Amino acid sequence: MTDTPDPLDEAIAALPRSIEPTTDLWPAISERITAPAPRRRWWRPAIGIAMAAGLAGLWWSTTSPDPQTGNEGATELAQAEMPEMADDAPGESRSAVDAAEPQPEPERTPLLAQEPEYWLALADLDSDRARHRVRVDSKVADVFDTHFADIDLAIEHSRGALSQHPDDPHLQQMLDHAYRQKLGLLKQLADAARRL
Amino acid sequence: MLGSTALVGLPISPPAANADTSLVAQAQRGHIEAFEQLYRAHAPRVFGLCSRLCGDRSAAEGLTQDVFVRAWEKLGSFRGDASFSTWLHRLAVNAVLADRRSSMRRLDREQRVPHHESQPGPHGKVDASVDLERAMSGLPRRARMVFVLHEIEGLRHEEIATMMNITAGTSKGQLHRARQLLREALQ
Repeated sequence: MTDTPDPLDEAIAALPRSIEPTTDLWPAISERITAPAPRRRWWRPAIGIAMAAGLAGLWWSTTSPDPQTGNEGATELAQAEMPEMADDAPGESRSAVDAAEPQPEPERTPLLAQEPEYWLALADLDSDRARHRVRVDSKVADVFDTHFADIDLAIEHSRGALSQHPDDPHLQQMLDHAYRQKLGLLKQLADAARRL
Repeated sequence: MLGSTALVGLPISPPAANADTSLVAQAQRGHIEAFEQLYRAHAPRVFGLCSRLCGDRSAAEGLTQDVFVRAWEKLGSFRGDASFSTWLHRLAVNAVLADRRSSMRRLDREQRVPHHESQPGPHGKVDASVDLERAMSGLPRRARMVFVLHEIEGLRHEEIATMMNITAGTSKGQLHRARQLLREALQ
């Protein structure tokens, strides 16, 4: 029996192993490897971790019923509409209010074009944050506090990095996202307080 | 199968391997000129591999750049256990496998390009190599990668399976499929 050569194998054997690129790629490679090394962006994973932890906690808090109160706040919080700001509850603890009272912010230079708008919106909502906080269950309030701390940390780190790399679009996006998260969380807290 | 030892020990002559060793040592000390010589010697082979694996020459140029930039960055970890060309090829295969963006572009293109696109030349004479290149680029992505790695680069199914996170059986199945499609395309 005679083996007839397989045309496909013959075609494979005829293929050149090397192919010249249509353009010389070296100038671009040379430019890339001689460019100054970018500063190590250590804060990116840190912010990511903080955000992920915060979101995971928020998800847990909004999907787990409170064993003491039966408050299934999470689902409701997730579906919250824009809150109507609740009046002060009579007899609420002033110390708790003080504990969550936002501290006056030092004067800042905007690092995003829309940052002053965020500051105004946040200031409006933040002024009522303490009142809303004392209305919700203490465990839920603690979870909110944790998330606010995470988001504030993310904002602080993003601003710090952005002040050194003001044109970095990734950082701008990160800061914008952190502000949006804080606004959303403040609204959720207000809504939770209103529904109770 | 062709060149079953090609990737394990790429077909380079001992003098070329010695030249690589010397150039790699200089490049490891930061001599860009030495690295450029390594690039000149190996770019066509790396580009050929990237081009066939991803089926897109434009994307392959970007990937080839990435491979050499990565090679420069990782030169310090190259200890010479394998030849430089083998190490470089591993970087290239990994770069293509990791390149999801171009995968999406390729997927889009593959959905538009029919497999039977091989046409005789103007004088009725088919250039087998050109036709095979064209037919390969029209293969489904996974079948093409297995075909290139096995038939052209000489990897074993077990190696391909590890690289592509598939089983050796799947690799064999994809190779069979690729060969069948190519035969049909080349008829």
